[in-house]
Amino acid sequence: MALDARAASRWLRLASWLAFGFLYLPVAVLVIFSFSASRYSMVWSGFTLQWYAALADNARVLSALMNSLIVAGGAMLISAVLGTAAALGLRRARFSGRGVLAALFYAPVVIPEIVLAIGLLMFFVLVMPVPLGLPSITLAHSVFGVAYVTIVVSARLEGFDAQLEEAAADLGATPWRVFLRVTLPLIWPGVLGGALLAFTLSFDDFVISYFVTGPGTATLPLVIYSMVKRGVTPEINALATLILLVSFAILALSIWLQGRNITAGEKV
Amino acid sequence: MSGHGSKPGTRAVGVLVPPAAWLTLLFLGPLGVIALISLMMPGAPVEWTIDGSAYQRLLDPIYLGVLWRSLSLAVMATVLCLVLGYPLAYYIARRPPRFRRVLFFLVLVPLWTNSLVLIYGWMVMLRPNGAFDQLLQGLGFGGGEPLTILYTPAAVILGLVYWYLPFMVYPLYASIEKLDFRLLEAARDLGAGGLAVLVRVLLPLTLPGIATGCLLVFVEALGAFVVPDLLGGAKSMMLGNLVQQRFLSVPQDWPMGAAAAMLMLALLLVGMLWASRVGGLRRGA
Amino acid sequence: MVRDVSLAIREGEFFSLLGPSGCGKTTLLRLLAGFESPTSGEILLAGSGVQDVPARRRDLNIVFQHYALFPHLSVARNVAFGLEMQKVAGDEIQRRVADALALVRLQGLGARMPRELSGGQQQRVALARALITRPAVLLLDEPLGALDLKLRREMQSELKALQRRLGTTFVYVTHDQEEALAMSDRVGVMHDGQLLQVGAPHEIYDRPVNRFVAAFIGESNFLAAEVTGYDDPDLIVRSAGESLRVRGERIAIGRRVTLALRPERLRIMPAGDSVAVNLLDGRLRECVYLGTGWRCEIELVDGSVMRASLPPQDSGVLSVGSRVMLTFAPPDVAILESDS
Repeated sequence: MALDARAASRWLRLASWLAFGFLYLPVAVLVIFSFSASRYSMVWSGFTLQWYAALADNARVLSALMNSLIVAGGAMLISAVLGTAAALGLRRARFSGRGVLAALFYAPVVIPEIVLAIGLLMFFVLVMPVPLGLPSITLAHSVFGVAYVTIVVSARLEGFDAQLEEAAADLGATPWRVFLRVTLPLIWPGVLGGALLAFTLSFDDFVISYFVTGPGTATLPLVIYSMVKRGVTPEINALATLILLVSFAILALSIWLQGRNITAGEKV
Repeated sequence: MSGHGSKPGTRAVGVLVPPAAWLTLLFLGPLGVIALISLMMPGAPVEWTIDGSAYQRLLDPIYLGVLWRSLSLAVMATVLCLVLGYPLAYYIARRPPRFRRVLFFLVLVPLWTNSLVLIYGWMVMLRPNGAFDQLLQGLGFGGGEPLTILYTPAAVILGLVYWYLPFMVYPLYASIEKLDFRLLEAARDLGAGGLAVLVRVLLPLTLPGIATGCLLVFVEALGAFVVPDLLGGAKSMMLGNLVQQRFLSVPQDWPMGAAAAMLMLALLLVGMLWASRVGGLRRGA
Repeated sequence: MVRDVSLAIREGEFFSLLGPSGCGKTTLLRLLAGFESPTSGEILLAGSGVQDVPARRRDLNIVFQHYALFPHLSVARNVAFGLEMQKVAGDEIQRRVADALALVRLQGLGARMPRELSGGQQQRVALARALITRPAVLLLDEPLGALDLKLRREMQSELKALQRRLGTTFVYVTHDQEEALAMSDRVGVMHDGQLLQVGAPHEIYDRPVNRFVAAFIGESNFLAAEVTGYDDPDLIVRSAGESLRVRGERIAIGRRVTLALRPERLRIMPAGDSVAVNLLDGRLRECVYLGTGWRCEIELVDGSVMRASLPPQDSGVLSVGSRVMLTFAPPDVAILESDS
């Protein structure tokens, strides 16, 4: 019986690490070959940074990068504010429609991206005229951004002692001052973590951007896509590596912030 | 005086209004538009006459193949995700709490950073004279001919599994983590061998997670379009590509694209009802 | 849940709400504070209705059971919070914070963070924070619940002294009846959402209004009895086969009542002749040594079991199994309605 369990756990560990290997194989390949001097990228022929240098001269890439930053920044701000408000409201509200309302905030995460993408495209063209380009992409990204921030901040609020807010109110603080002086100082890591997640998801988004963008506007993933459609090149490897690195760094920061303990605001 | 009602509750509603309004407008709005347009006639881009023919066009024999392929590829991807994802989720759930967070985050990273770029990475690996090809040639397989994995259904399935694995692992992990592992020990103690414990204890108890994971992967995979586009080529067109074409290429047919989206939403809804029933049975048991 | 509560608390008094868990005392406190809304009725503070006034504008402050100190603020900033909300000037805040900390004997600890303090110290910070704005009423929700016994006793006398010194009305919630009796000017006993009895501690103790109060406060023996006559100021009742005299107002002859007798008011005597007014025959079943005396169980003729206290000096005369008599004085009985 014990042998059975030990063998099983060994297989389990093997299977799991194979799965992790599977997940990170493309990362490794891209990173390695972004430094390879070979143009046809599959044979290692010396270390080089030329592909990275080429990116710095690529005006199209640079302008797309700027667009991505603008969009991600805008989507992040909208999502952080609205998502935090939603999380606070959902936690305290005790009315009957609450479950349905909560579902509204989690739904954008579950809906297939392409459905949301075409829906937004049609919405912006036919119903609420929004210029297709940076404005439409930013608004579109804020939809799933708000959902993710709501989820993250709600998780952070789980351990939050509601009596702290009651105490502040009792001592004369208006709801806004309760939020500024008590709630926010204690949940800000979660809020920032959620905001960074929204930033990353927006920065890396492809499907939704692809559908709601306008002529002439491209974000970084869109530029990568058109480069890829034309063929595999080492510049793409370099660009891919960079974008993965940056995203990973921001994401790691986000996760770390989400996990930070509220300084002793635990319920006893 | 009698009382139980709560004043703070009513105050909180105020703060919910902006985000709820935002999502009602920008999320429910688009969903409503999809439903509406699916009933209209195609035009430039849409003729505002109620029609319904979009659904018929969707089921046209030409597209039926696409539909069928999408369904079968999505099913295969779901099964593989389950097979690959369950041990992974279980393994992570059994680690000490410190490692759990990190490992779980590592599973989500590929999805949350840049899936497009990573699928491109698979392209690099799978194409003729790509990394795998070179490796296999080097090891003596292949007999001198370039590998043809890219642009086959196999590549698409691989890409789908790669992209949507986190959608399976997340609910599975959530379900397994809530498990009381002493139940497994109790089963062992009563004489159950490894397989029996798996089939009779572990799987039934994590059924809600399994149901949710399968549902999510299936529906998302149905709507995939990057993976079949980059890894599948023209021969492996899926529903997502169909939608893309009807919206962004000629001939434009927004209603049909919307109808396809409605189909996916319907499947999602049905699937969620089914999954919650499965989860409910669990709770009742 | 709180039902049909009508209560008037006097200015400057130390009032306790006493009852078992779930009886509604905390809910009542929260209604006073403004964290819950009454479904019907009003709350009057100094004569004006405040049930529609939000918590922050009511002139009462609350000390929570688990203190609810702001973990990200220092002790001084915690205490100063209420004054900052009132936009009091900076140097005055400093002065008053120092005074408040001195009042609760925490002077010099202003710079510490709450997590660095012990439970008792945290509780005093909560107290200082609530009192610094000089509210008309201080609400305390089982503030001593998390402290150990010795510390609790100390804090009880400190709180009592503090209240006397400040003259602020204290509304104190507790499930510990000794605490309530020791500290309060008046006590309100609650059960199941209802206020059963309000009165000074000795009233609650000696004249419980119903069976629950009699059993919840201290210990009581209950005897079923029937009124058979009067001999003012006493009633004559029949119980456990004997005729007994109990002090009380006239009740109709033939009515059934319940007598509540406290163990310490019963005297145990060896069986024999006696001229004592109330005598119950019984057999000594068991005695338990308590240090301060004995607690004995006596089985009466009709089978009912009474508990009585036996002071150490009387213990030599009696032995387990022997026949004894219980006696008590007429004023030492509470008469309860029979179905309460």
